[in-house]
Amino acid sequence: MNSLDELTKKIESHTNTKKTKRTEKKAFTVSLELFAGVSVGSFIGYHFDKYLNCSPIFLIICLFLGAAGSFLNIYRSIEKQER
Amino acid sequence: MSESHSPFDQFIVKPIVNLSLSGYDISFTNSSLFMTLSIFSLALFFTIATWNASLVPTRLQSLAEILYEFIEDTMLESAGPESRKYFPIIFTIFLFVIICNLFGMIPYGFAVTSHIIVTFVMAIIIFMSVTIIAIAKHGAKFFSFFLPEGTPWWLAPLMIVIELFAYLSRPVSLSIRLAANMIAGHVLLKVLGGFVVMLGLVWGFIPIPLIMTITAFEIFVAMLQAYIFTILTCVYLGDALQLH
Repeated sequence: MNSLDELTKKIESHTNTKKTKRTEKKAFTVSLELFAGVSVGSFIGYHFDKYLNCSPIFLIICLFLGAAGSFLNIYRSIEKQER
Repeated sequence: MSESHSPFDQFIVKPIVNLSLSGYDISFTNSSLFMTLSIFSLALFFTIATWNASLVPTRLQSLAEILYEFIEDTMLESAGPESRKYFPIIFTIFLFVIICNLFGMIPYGFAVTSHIIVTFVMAIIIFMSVTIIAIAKHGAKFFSFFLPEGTPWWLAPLMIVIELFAYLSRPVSLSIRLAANMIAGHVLLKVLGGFVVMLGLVWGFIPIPLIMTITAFEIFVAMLQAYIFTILTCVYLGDALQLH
């Protein structure tokens, strides 16, 4: 009985180490998605401004929309990993 | 001394044969050399592996079959049975990325996939073809992809724009994930190699076990990143085929 308990503890500790590894990967995904969303948003906003000649308006709007889009991507990816 | 030994020197694209076509520089560079090499070695490998294809496979043939079945299983699992039509491009992408990553791990080699332009072109091709597939398959229904179910009507205009931005940022994150991983690994190896030189003849052996470990880890990362690139392509394809 004792050895079984020890085994269970061992298995639990190993599962825990696996979880921390996954968290690391999650952190990289989160930072990457944030960067991608914001850069795409500002790129599109900048070119809208260049086209329509109304300098910082679309840059600001699209920057925030891109950030919101990246939050959505982050939320989805974490939701998928939790399942 | 220090100006010619930056850890980023390994990523410089150098022309081998200077060519130009109507004002554009189309030189054959070390990047093109390694892309050509990887394509030819892949073709050679698969030709030799399937030369005398038999029911009981030889070692090389079973290696090729394992690769094929592994990617096929991954694709069917994450993109559904409808995606079988698009298997050739998924398999090609996987093989190209993995062989380029592994060629970069050879000393004095050049990691083609550490350049964002290369990975970005692959990502944009995937993104555009997936979008075209979705529009061809679902028609106007494709645009319902940008409106999640259960959105209140007063939030719908905002939600569509946000979903559009989330969709557009996919190729960027896909390409940067691969390139950043490759750059990080190669720079880390170069910096640790620089430690050996700085510590000199007496203490220079200290970082070498670490370099060996990191090299093995980088080979693992090279294969893992190729797999992640492929699986994300499959997920995007599955999204396009099924729309949620």
